[in-house]
Amino acid sequence: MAKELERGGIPTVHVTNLVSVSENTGAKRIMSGRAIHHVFGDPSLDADEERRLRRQLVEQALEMLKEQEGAP
Amino acid sequence: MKRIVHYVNQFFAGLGGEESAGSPPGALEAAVGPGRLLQTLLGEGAGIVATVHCGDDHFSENEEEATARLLELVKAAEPDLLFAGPAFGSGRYGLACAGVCRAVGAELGIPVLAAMSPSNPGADTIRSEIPVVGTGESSGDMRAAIEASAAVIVKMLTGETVAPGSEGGLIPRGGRWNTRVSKRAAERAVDLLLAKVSGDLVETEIPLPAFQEVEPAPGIHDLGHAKIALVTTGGLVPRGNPDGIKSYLSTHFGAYHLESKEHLAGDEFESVHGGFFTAAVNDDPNRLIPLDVLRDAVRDGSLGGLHEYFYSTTGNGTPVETAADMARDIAASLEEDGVDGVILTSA
Repeated sequence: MAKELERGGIPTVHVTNLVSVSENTGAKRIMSGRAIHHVFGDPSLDADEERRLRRQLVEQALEMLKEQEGAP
Repeated sequence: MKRIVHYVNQFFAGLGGEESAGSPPGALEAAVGPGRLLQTLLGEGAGIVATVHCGDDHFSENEEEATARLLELVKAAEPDLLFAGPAFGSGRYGLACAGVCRAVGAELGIPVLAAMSPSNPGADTIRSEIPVVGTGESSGDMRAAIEASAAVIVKMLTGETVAPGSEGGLIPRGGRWNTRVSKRAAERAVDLLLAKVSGDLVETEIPLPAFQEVEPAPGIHDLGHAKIALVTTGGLVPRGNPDGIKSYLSTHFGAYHLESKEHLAGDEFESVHGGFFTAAVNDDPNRLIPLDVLRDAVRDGSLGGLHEYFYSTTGNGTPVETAADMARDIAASLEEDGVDGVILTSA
């Protein structure tokens, strides 16, 4: 899906913890999330910490959308 | 003698090249062009009783009508088998071979075989349904293509099962069939491992699919003015799953309006993904679709805006082609709505 969105001209960051699967299909911008069951969070943290973590992960994802040449 | 009908395009029927590509369906009561070599290789047991032909342009522009007419011509020759091609890398010719094979197989119930390059779009169209001999890209490969085809034809005419793998130069059909092998799995695994460490590994038993390369889209210059959309293969849907998104082998996606929501609430959304432990996401869907912090980013100006819908399907077991189709649909609507980038999340 990431590849087809990129092909359609829309930079796409794939956030997943099965990075090798994404790499094998040839996705261009791949980011490793926190964990398979919760890529953008962590239930072991308290609510504020988790939200800070999520913000930080989102910033990281957005940065990857800026890259001219998508690279994992 | 077994009766074979051979399908070729205008060029191989000897009617001319591109200038004759508009020629309508016709039949000759003999082997012509590549059929002559095939006839020699088949020997006494089988004979080409008719060569049925059609111009490539004519077929692609009048597919339904041409297929019906070709079917009549094939039927009139009362064949035991139809062979189409080799079409090599020619897309229109390959698609015509695929169309004729499909129609003849379905209507006459006889064995059908095509030959073309694995990269020919016709091969993709038909290879899951009928055997296709893989050839090179051009007619320079004619001899090898006809030899491989002749061997498969002989096998088919004797009623032998044609395996779905690459045996005999066939393009793998993508299915799984039971077959008897001489060694058990443990022995084969050790053999493969030994071959791999010694560098002699010729062929794996299960080749991984080859994926096409894609050029990355240009990156976003200014996030402060960019609109981002959220897409997930984690199966997040409004509770009750109004669009019936499947938890496995998904075939479609849902588009859900974010309205003025500041975050995604666990009592409104749930994941219907059947391939991961969804409790953490169901407790707080922002762990999959990080809406809460993206709203923060828009508020503080570090991000221009968010697309008003998020898109969701499940990614487990979904064939790559189905996923690609869904993504093309999503890409088209995002483009229309002026979306500059996507965060795609997967479990």
